[in-house]
Amino acid sequence: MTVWDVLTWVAIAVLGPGVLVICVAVARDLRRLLGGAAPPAPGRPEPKR
Amino acid sequence: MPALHPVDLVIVALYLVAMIAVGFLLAGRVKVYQDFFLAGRSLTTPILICTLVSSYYGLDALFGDSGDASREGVVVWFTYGRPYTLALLVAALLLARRLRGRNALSLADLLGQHYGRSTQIAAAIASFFYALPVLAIMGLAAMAEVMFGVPLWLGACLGSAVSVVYVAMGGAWADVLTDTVQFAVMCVSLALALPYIMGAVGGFEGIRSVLGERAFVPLGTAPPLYTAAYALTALSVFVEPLFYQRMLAAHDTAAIRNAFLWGILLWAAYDWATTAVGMAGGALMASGVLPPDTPRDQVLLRLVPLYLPLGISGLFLGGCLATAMSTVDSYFLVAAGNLVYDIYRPLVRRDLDDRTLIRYTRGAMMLSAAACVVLGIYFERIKEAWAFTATILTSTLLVPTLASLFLPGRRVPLAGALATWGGLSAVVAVYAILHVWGAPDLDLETRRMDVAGITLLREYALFVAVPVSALGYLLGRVLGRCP
Repeated sequence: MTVWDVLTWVAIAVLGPGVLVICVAVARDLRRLLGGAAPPAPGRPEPKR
Repeated sequence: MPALHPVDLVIVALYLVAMIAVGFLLAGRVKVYQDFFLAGRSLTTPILICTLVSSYYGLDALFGDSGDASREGVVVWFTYGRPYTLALLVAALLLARRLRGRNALSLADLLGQHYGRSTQIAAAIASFFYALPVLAIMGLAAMAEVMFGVPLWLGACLGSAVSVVYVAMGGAWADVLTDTVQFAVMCVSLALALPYIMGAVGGFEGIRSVLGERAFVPLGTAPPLYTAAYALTALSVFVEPLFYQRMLAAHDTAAIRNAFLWGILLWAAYDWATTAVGMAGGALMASGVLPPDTPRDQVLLRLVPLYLPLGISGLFLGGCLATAMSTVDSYFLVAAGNLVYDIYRPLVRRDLDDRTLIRYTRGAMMLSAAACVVLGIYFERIKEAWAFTATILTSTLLVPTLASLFLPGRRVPLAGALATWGGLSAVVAVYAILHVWGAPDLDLETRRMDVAGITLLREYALFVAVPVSALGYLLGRVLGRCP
């Protein structure tokens, strides 16, 4: 396996599973924001749900 | 060209309908201009990641980079792409903190608050030209022609019309919400397509056997000054209007910094994926699978019906549309804001209420679309248009923006005005001179002029205009007075 192959598999991992994890976090934030709640204050832990 | 399967077409149609539905659903949420333009300044890190990555990378990154990689190889990732990584890293660590507490709505507004109205208008003009999503529109037109057999102008109009409709309805909220879906579709579809296309060409060993070692030279084989000119366009990151609009829409500075750091990883991965599939396309052209006269910007599209299975090809097409539309919608919003909030409002009517501002901004999106088509006709290649708009932006705004954020001391309106108007005039002058007296350079696909044994390429405008802007700033500091 060459360095080019390694780069390719890293890219696939980031663009595939990595992106889906970020999308789950976005869905959580959007649900809260569009539901009318304020985002967590800077530097404070997020409220538990 | 093999026809698309109806299943693929249904996937694309569903995607388009979903985007428009989002705009209609969110239209009722928009009450004040800050909601419309900055989503209430409440964006969190994950939302910023999605919207920054998907908006900043359009079809110029997907088709332009893959087309360039098919001809030039890994230099596209190393030399054209990584200076941007460095610039983004600096922006993440330094810019975010400097914007803390600023209540501006855009980069031009920020400069207007620092230097005054004249600078705001020059900045808005440069930002407007840069923010016109010419590259995405050109890519959409190429897609429509290759995949659907639709005339170039019609495909471009339909694609941009859909984007304008949902952002005009829902503003920044519709923009960021659709950006999230588009972010997922554009990244995941590329990740799925990559193994199929690389497999078709026998991986990198197959590419090496056809294209040779020349495709694997990180610094490339073009003239160093030409390569440096492209690498220097990375400076545009520091004055990217979209970044400022998103940073000003962020909930806090930590969210901005974290979003940029994650974005750097995602952009680098995306760059590598487009470079790899582009090189595969180049190898397939060289070995006769694709016609040798295939336009470079269309290489990737030509591979889709040949190598991607049913369903994946539809998803990939949806990914291409998502890549284009996430850029088109965001930049239309920025460009329209420049026209209305940064040019019309300070020049004509300062007392515009929020409802009128929103209505005018919606109308300005249509004007921006018309301007896009004009620029798209002038430039023949995606990379050319990218260099032109990035050069205008950097030459006009880099010096006054960095000075306003990082140089302590007096605010001198004349310094801002001379820096912005000087830089803008210098770029226009260089492009005009080369347009009138220059000759086409078929090898580098640009225009050139030989003066006293020195070759001037159109891309060198940056080397002239940024020093002119810096000189204007210094002159203004010496001659100008504080307000």
